[in-house]
Amino acid sequence: MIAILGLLLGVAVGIWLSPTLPAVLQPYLPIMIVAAMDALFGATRAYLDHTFSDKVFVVSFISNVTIAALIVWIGDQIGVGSQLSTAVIVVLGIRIFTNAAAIRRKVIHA
Amino acid sequence: MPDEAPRGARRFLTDFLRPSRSQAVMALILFICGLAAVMQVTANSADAGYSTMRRSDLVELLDTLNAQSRRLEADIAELESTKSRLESGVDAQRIAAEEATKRLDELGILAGTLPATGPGIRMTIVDPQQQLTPEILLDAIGELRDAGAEAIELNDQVRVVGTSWVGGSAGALVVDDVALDLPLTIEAIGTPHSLEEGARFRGGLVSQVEGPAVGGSVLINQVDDVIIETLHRVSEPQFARPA
Amino acid sequence: MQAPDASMDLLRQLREEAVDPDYARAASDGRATRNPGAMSAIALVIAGALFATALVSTTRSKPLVTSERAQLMGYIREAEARQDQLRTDQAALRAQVDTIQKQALGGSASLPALSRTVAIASGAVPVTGPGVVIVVDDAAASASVDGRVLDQDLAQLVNGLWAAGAEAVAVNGHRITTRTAIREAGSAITVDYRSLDRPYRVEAIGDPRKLPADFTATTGGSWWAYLNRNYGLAFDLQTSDALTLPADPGLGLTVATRAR
Repeated sequence: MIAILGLLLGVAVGIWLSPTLPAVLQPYLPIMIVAAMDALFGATRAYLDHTFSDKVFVVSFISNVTIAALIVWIGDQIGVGSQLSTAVIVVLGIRIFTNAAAIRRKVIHA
Repeated sequence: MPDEAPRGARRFLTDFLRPSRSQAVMALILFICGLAAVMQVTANSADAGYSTMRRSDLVELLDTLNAQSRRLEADIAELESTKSRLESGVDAQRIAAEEATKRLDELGILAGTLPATGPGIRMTIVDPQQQLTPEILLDAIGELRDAGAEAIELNDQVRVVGTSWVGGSAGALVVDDVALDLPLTIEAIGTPHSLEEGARFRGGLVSQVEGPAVGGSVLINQVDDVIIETLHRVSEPQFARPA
Repeated sequence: MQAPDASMDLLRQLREEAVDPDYARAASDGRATRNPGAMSAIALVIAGALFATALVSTTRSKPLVTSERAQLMGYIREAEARQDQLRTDQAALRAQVDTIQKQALGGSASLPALSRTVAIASGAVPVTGPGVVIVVDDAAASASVDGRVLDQDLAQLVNGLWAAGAEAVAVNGHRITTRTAIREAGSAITVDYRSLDRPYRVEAIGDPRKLPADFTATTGGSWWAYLNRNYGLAFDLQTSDALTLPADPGLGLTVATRAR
């Protein structure tokens, strides 16, 4: 399916070109990854529920990643960067787990 | 209820003797969990000692360990050659007498009952404000030992040995019940440049004495033939006996 | 009236709205595309690239430093094991040579025998006798430097025991002699270049009736009373009827010789 191919293509391009993110963004990379994962899991669950929408996925993906990085950046400015980062990870983590459980139920009927 | 108890126990027994597949899977999972838990706990406690050491400290520790091992290896090689010479039977008695005398001399020097000579350093510590504390002197002796000092003498008054103790107070230092005069002269036999480095390293004797707390000065001379003649009066042990 | 669990709303919301509610809304509006289109594909490529970048940068910078550390610690453990082996070998060899020497000397009475006193005082022979055992350790609760036992603290402890009249002392099984150095390497205390494990066990042979009190009266005793009271360092003194302290292996001289 195009979706999986797209993901694999991205991973391949990333490893092959080994791009380095601008130093400014480097510390926020992990948070951006977790936010991206949250959007992906949400999209997968919606796809399995037959409610998937292209536009919603792209919007949620971009906004998740940007807002997560923004929140942690603001936290860094006011001095609670690591605490806010923890909070963001906790929330995103819960959502990821919930979606993963739903996906598992749909796929394995277990 | 009395009826259920034997049924429960019997079920337990049959489950134990004839495990069903789900129980086998459960057992496997719990086995892995237990294994992982133990591995994690042991991994956690294993490197506790070295985990906080900086890389340079680790390298230094490795160096001293290797140096000490080389010393032991050299010692073992010497012992083996002595052993083979003794076992060869030829002139065994003369060799044995030589070795025994050498050993007596070594232990005598270490115990402080014999005078010693060899290369080393002579340190003179001037303490105009009488701020030199017993702690600093104890530290200094420890540094010299760490740098390989084989015999140490203070002021030509006191021979420092393993059982020596430092007491008194700033400006009125006492070692082995002998009051030390100022300025303090320390003579040590060993490898001169190692001894001097041992005293001069950051945080060591020289920096402590010449620092603001003491405000003194240290003069170190490397000498080819230090002569240590003060002897330590060893009293016969009342409680310790050879095992 | 609020639902009884209104305060738990956040968690409930997290669980129930884990999927963006916009999906459901788009579906009910009939705008669900069901299959990912071109835009999604682009977003997925970006996501993939993001993962890969993070992966690459983490594995790249991943220490060098930690792997070198692990290597160093491996070397150190090997060196320690080798040193232990060498010490055992040396002690055994020394004992053999001494025996052969004694046999070879046989009835030769012209040589002064090694005085028992010198043998014990220099640390060349293992000794046994009554005495005290002092066990010290870092303060239980504290991780700061103040709560740690430093090499200076151990040196003061041993110094106090000598001042109180101990005849032989060993720290964690290492006999203290003229050449023994109690130093620090990083945060580990070393005796004779071997790092010590906590708790630190100091054994001293002497008069078990007088040592405890005499020790308390020395500078070492008051040093430790201060540490125990103010920093919570553990200190425990027990008397013992029979202690055995090993000899110091490798006890010898390299440059010093007897002066005539």
